[in-house]
Amino acid sequence: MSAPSAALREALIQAIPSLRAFAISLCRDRTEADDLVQETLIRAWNSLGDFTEGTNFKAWLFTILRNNFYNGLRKLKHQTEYARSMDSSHFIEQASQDKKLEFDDVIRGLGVLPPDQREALILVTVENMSYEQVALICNCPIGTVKSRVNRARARLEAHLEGNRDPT
Amino acid sequence: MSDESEKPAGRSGTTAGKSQSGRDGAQSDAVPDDVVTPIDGEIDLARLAPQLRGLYQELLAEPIPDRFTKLLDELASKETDEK
Repeated sequence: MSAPSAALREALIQAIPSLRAFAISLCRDRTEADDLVQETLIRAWNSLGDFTEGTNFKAWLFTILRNNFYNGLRKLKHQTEYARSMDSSHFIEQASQDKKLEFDDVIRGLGVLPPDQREALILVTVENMSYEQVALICNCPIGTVKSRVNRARARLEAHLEGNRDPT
Repeated sequence: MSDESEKPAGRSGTTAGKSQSGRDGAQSDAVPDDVVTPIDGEIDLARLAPQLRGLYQELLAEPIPDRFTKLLDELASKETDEK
């Protein structure tokens, strides 16, 4: 293996956990998410020439993954996909029951959000990205990102409030 | 797809003060999703962010599935063959 290939391989390996988390947030299905990660890795490998040296590699990968996801949606006409109910048993197999329930609750809550709000919220919270970075990844103005995050926050908090045992 | 959209520049790091308290400018759900509402001040994610992060932690800590390491090995060996 040539040195650049080895370095690229290592950089991609390092990014895989984050790519999977982001893909699951978008697809809400583990199998689909891993297929999306696979397409992303292949595309990144083959279009490394498009990456601008000195910019954020992970953000570049997220952009590819996101574009693949939305292109796939368009092809498959899955635009209403986010409204479907989901089997959250895919997500955590070995977690304790309590934690699993909590996770299910939040994931189900995420499911009520439109994909654009969901992705913005996950990138900002889980990936700890700035609004500016998310705006670059999602190819929209920073104000739009903030508005999406704020709506996602309000909706998800309301959803979790509603599910809380009133006692 | 424009060339531009594939190239997120951007520095890493700067995480805007997301957990600061202050007005959060919560909007009614009646507002359509495509309308951009200006956010006055920081968005208060202090409650939600640790919860979401905690829930994804397990996923992030999972070992990398073999299919991905195999795929990258294949891509790397293909490249070597072509040279």
